[in-house]
Amino acid sequence: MEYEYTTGRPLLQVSGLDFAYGDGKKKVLSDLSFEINDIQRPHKGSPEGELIVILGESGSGKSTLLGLLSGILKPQAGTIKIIRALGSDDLGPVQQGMVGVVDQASTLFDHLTVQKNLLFAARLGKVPENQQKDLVAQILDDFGCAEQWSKYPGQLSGGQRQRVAIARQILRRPSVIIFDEPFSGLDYKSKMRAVNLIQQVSNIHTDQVVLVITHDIHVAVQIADRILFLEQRADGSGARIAEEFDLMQRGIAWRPDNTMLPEYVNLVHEIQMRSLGQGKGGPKKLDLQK
Amino acid sequence: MNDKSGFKELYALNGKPSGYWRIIPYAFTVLMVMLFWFMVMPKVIPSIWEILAAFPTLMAKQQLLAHWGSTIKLTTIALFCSVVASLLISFMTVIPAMRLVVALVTKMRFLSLVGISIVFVMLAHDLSTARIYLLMFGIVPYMTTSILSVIVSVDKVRLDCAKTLGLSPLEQVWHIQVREKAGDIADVIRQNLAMAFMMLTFVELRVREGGGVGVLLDDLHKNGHGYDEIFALQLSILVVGIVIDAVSFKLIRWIFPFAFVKKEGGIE
Repeated sequence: MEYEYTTGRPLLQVSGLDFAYGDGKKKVLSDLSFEINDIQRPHKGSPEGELIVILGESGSGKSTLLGLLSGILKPQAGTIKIIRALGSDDLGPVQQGMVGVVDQASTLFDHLTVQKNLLFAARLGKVPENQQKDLVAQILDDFGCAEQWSKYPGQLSGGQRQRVAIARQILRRPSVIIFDEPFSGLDYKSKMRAVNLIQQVSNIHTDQVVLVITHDIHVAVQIADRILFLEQRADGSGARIAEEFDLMQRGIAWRPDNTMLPEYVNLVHEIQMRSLGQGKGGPKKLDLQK
Repeated sequence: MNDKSGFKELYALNGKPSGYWRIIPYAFTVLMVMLFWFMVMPKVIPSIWEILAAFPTLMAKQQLLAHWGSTIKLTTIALFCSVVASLLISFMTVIPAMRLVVALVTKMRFLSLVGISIVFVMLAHDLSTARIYLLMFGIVPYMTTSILSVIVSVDKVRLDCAKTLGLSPLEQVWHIQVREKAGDIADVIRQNLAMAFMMLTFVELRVREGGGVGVLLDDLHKNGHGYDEIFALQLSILVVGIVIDAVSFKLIRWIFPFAFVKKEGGIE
């Protein structure tokens, strides 16, 4: 079956990004550019923000890119523009607080109970005060955390923390949500639950971009609309988006049981080979002299 | 746990003995202390009965309760002022321009209180205020060092998380370094109370005006009273200290329950 897809207005634009730590001699990112648009998914009537996976090995600059996209780090050159709010057409430079991050540790405020953490997020998301409690109760129920409402984050399991951290971002309603390594350290069942949650999140708002940063190729191919492959340049001049894989075009994205498709298996293999340096440019050679 | 494995667990590194095996080491330690007290040092330390018998004399002739009243008053005021001052100084570390001031205060730990008390006597309006200043001078550098270690131990990931939520720098400090760390800070203050208690008798000796258990202890020693009275007074200091420590520990757990759920493995 052939899926039709269209790309529309830009929701996040990254162009010519340069970043180096310390004295600036060792570049981490260099001339990094990509764009995320709203797309027409096959099962939806209206355009939606893309679900993008940034795939990269350890040391490829994923964490630095996360810092830049969330506005915590400032680039030495280049710009990052995102839509100012959900429902807005206006693109503006990224600032702290515009992008929601679900970090690896699913950080929550330790001094607040689960319910108070979410009420705090609802206030940040400008939910009217008289609706906050009901909305928080509803979202806790939807995420299967209703019984945990009075617990402190320190009393939750890793999976429960992650669900509450995601719920917090939904209540905040940022135009971009970034998941930083959401599958690391999870068993298969929890991983699939996280996959399901991320896909649900990307279905909530029509123009909300969901960006997943991971090194897990299998899950990346399972959930992405598009994969951006982040890689350090061979000459050490910083990382760039070395290749893009459009999963809508390949007929993998959003198809039920897509992991059973030959296209899925082929793409996983292609990315694995790419990551080993056996794609474009031939295999990497080990230099034991170094 | 059977008897054999329970015994083994008592001596296993980081072992966790359960049930009555947990009580055995305590009972054994108390027994050993008593044996040491009664058999090895009977000539040096008065017996427990002699110490207990000295209390009525201490209360009637030496006005023990009045001295304790003076000490408690001094401790309460000096500790309150020291905690406030230490908190203010410690939190100044979030402002880079103030870090040298904070570092200088912590380095005051290396100064001795001997010879410096005259400065506080001259600075204060009266001798009881001088006592408070002197005690604060002794406590604040240590307390600041401990509180500071908690404030700077904040994980960068947590501050970054607050930034991504769009919180202002003041809100970031308030939530991550003040409210999240409040339980840990309260706990290091509690730990410093013991040291403050130790300094207390010394300060009372340096500035004798107003009495206190430090003055009483010195008088008993100088006036050739029996060791039973001196040990009775020391025992009262030990008991009051332990009670204050236990009460403040319970209070901190009650006020800041979130600070203990992780440490105690609260995951269900």
